[in-house]
Amino acid sequence: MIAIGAALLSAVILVWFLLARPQLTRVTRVVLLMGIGVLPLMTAGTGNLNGYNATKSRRFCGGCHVMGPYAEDSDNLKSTTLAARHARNPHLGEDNCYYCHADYGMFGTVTTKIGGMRHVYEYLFNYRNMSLEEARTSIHLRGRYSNNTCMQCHSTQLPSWQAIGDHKAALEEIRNDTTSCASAGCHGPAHPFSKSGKQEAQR
Amino acid sequence: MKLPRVRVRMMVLLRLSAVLTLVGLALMCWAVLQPTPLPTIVAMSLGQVVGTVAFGMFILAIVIDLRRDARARRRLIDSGEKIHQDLHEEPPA
Repeated sequence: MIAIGAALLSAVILVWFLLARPQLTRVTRVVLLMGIGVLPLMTAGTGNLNGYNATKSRRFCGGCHVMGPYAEDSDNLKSTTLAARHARNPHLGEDNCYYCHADYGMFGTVTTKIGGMRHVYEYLFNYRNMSLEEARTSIHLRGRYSNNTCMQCHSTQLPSWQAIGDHKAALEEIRNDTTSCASAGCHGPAHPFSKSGKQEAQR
Repeated sequence: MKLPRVRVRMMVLLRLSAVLTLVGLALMCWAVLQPTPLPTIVAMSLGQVVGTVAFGMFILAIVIDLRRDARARRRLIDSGEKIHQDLHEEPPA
């Protein structure tokens, strides 16, 4: 709300300047500095922060129609897909798309945002007019889904995790990313409806 | 005759800067009120560019105004010095 408040204040100053056409005295200059410089900077700063947080939300990801089914699946309390179950985790909640698809590490946020811009490009030029059915079978991850993302929360260190036979047997492969957590034999794909669509299309 | 033209250009710059700032603010507020992909991307790119250009124009206008003031002041000092010189000049023999 700081963004909107600062913008409104700035708009009042600017409209006054445009309509009243005052003499350019020192006071006018300072008032204009507020209206054109300081207050819009506040709007831009808080707006950016707001925008940055908005880009992490599921509502934002589901804003493009081809992502609709993915967001709806996460919203569905009855869904048992990996993605939906993660969405019900209060630590991920509304931002579950971001947490599971973000790059981690030192520059993770930056690389995730650059990747997000690529999504926007792809959507605008390739997927904007695509039907949902077509999108379901053709949309795919760029590259491989890394276990490192899962291991941000599931460290593979806890005894309760290692007590599971399959985890224990494939511990090294899981850690060195040669066996995917989201592979069919393990926890399965996080969005199985898209994979089944792909298989149907291949038949 | 050069002085008034600079004044007009500066005021045009300021008004244009004010209008552009209003446009930039509108784009930024759009994203805050409707945080979906298009408004957010427009606000964080176009909105910021428009706002930055507007602020640049404001700075330019202020610099023009300050230089004009400085020039006028210098001219005033120069003319004052000339009067001073005229007053203290020795009369021709």
